[in-house]
Parts: sequence; C-alpha cells; structure tokens
Amino acid sequence: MRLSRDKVLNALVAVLAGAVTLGGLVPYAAIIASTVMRGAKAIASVGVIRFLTSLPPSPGSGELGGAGPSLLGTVLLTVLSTLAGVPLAFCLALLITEFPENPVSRALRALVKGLLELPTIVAGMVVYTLVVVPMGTPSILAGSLALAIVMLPYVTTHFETYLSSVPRLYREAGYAIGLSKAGVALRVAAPIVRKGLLVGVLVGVSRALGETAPLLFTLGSARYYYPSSVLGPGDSASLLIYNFAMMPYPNLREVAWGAALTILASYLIISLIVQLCVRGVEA
Amino acid sequence: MRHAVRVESLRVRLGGREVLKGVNLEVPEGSVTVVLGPSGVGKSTLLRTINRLLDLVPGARVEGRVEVLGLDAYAVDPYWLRRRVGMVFQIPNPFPHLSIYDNVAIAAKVCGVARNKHELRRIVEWALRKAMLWEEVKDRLRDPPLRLSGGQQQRLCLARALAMRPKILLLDEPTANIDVSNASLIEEALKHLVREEGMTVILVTHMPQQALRVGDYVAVMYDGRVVEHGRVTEVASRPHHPFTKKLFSGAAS
Repeated sequence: MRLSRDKVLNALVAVLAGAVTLGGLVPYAAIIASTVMRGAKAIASVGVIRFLTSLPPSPGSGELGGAGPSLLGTVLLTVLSTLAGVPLAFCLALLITEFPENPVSRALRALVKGLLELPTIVAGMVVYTLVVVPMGTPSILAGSLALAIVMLPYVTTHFETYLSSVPRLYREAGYAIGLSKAGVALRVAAPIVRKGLLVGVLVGVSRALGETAPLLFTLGSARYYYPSSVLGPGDSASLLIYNFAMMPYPNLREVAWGAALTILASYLIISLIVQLCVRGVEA
Repeated sequence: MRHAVRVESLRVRLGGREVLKGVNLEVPEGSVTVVLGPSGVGKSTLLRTINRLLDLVPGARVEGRVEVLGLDAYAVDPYWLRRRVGMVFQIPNPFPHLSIYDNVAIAAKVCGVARNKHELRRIVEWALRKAMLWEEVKDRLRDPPLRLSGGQQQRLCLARALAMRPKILLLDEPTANIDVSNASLIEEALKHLVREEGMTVILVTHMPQQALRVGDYVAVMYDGRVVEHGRVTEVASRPHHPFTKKLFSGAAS
C-alpha cells in the first residue's frame, strides 16, 4: 500500500492535535490529582463524618479537624443564591428571547453581557454597601445575594442560548393552537430545552460552590462555630480554603485540602445527578 | 353562499419585498379550497395572514382586508383568532416533549373545548380518528411522538389542529415531506372533515394533481396574485391564464 500525501498529512495533523490536547490537559490532571490525593489524606485522617461536621483545629495545635461550619455555609449559600439567581435568570432569558426587538429587552441583554465582565469582587462591594452596612453585620444572606449577582449573567446567557435554539417550527405550532407568548415560552420552548436549562442551573450552582471574592466583604468568617441564622455571619468552604491555605500552620492547610476535595466531589456528584435526570430525555 | 374567509386587495411586504401584490380570494364555507402555485409565489404568506401567524415575522407589513368568519382578522385579538383556525405545517412539528396523547390534548386545553378529563379524552380520540391515526396509536398514546414515522407525525399534527374544534383548517403543503400512502390518508381525512363536519379547508400545494383530487375550488397563484379562481373542475378544463394552462396540461398527461 502506498502512502499518499493526504494520508501522511492526516496522520501528522492527528498526532499534533492529540499532543496539544494532552498537553493542555496536563494542568487540569495535576490539579485534580493533587486535590484528590492530599484532600483524601486530610479527610481520611479524621474520618469523613468528622471532617464534614467538626470544627477546624486551633492554629498550630498540631491537632487535626474538620470544616463543618464552612461546609454548612457553602450549602446554605449555594441553595439561597440558586433560589434567588436562577428564577431571575430564567425570567431575564425569557424576556430577552421572546421579545428580541423590544428596547427594554435589548437593554437587558446588553446589561447581562456587561455583567459577565464584572469583576466578582465588585458584586461583593455593592452588596456590602447596600446590605451589609444597613444590617450592621455581614451575613449568609448578604453572601448569597452577592453570589446570586455573580451567577446571574452566566445562568441567563446559558438559558438564553438554549431558549433561542428552539426551532421556529415548534414555536409556530404553539402559536397556531392559540398559545400566548408566555404560553409558547413556558409550555413549548422551555420544556423542549429543559435538559439545557438544567445544565444552566448547574452552571449557577458551580459558580456558587467555588466563588470566593464576592464573599470577602459580605459573609464574615464564622468558621469556628455554627451559624445560628442566615442573617448573621457565616463562612464558606472557598473562604476557608483561601484563608487556611495561606496560614503557616500545616494542620490548617490540611483542612483546606480536605475542603477543596469536598467541593470538587460535590460538584461531580451534582453534575452526575443532573446527567441522570436528563438521561432518556429525547430532543 | 357564505364565505368562511374573504381576502380583499391584500398586499404584504416582507422586509421591503412585496410578496403579495393585491390578492382577492373568497373561500366558501364547508368546502376545500386549494391555493395552487409554484414555490415562492406567496402561498404560505397568504395562509399566514388568515390566522395572523405572519405577525410573528419581524418587518412584515400587511395592507388590505382579511375577513375570517365575518370578522376583520386584523381588528380582533390574534390569539382569539388562532384558537378558531387550525393549522398544519409543511414540516411535521409535533411537540417533542409531549406524548402523542398530550400533543392533541394541549390544543383542546388551550382552546377550552373540553370541560373535564372525560370530555378531553373523547375529543382526543375523536381528533385522532378524524386524522386517520387512532388505530395506529391507540395502544401507545403515552409514547413520544418522535417514535412515529414522518407521515404519522403529520397526521398527529392534523389531529392536534382538529382538537381545537376549528371551523377553518389551514394546511401549508402538508404532504410535501411525506410518502404517498400517508399523503392519501391525509387527503382522505380532509374530504371526510368537509363532508361530515362541515369544516372549511384551505390547502396550499404546488401539485395540480392534489388540487384535482381534494379540491372543490382552486385559486391559482402567480407572482403574488391570484390569477384564476373557481371550481376545480372548471378551472382545470377551461383554464384562462397561460400559467394555469401550463399547470393543468402537465397534470393531465
């Protein structure tokens, strides 16, 4: 068999593309591998349940501990910010896709695109001014609001992409049976792309799980006791990692690794659940 | 003779291009009127003024008068109007997220034609029977519609339109994308609907043979105008316009 020029060229391109891809994956693999190894060690040394529920150790005590309050904080922040951000994002996306010519929805679209570029710490500063100062204390509620502001443009853009991908022929069918604009959006367009919308929610959740900067001025740092109310200070796993990772105490850095693995694992579990939910859904 | 639809000097511009250049058309109640003509001649646009689906096209400008069931279509609420006029499209478009049953039921629900679950079931079955689909799907009403063949999907879309209990049914080249046997089932269904339910059917097609098979009346369109209009038998046997002559000489051979 003779090797043609095309075949040689194809092979060359395939090898090059493969090598570049592998090269690009190396940093990700390194991050995941080190998080899994060091995090697993930190969690295993105290036990999973204790790590998830107990308080962090005193600095420099040499003892090990958990990240209970911070992890609970992350759960509360994620739930609250998703509850606030996702419905709003859905409404915005509906407005933008269903009334594309309307000046208000054009302005909103521009605003959403602009918010995508917003440094997340600015969201924290805004909420600090508008919520934390009047309330007199940082709080889980304020942190959730800041996270909601950060996730809003991402989730909206995601929703918008999916809603506008619904083929015109289905929308026409909806209008032809007498559905209103809202009816077509809610009973035809949204259900057709519900899989994509669910992924959009996941985008929001993953933002909430990992963001740190918006929480700096808004959440407080109550990581040595459990919060009694969402109106009072709390902590998040991301803030704990940020703080403990810079500490000169190895036992605190251990907790930071454990918290990092916990976030990574929760993200994987949530996306797995989402994948299972949308499996078997046609179109 | 009463008219279900009357169109008077209708002009439509789509993004600056004049698509309809003064259309006049009268559609007698309880009959099949076929709008016949080549592609791009404005047939679909004409159809979409009757239920004002054209409102959805940005930049569409409509002048002239469209009267549906004695009312000025462009003076009434478009949603009200659309609930009284069923439509079947060129590409079968059952809702992919709804079951076969729900695809038909949703139309009945939106139009408020069923007072309870029991009535809804009866209307869905009636619509599926009238669309000649009941026997094929009665044991799989909960299946997604995309498991049906293209022709079955199109009959499902017909059933969906019928579940609205419309007085007028619009069909935009409904058989252009399906096989011959499914096409003749749909043609059969249309004849029954007119005969048994007194429905008014407006069928857009580019096939003169189809006009001869199902049409009572035919309106021949050419370059944005209706150039000939009358009983199918008369138009086909004594065409006046040169374009009509060409159409039907091809159909006869």
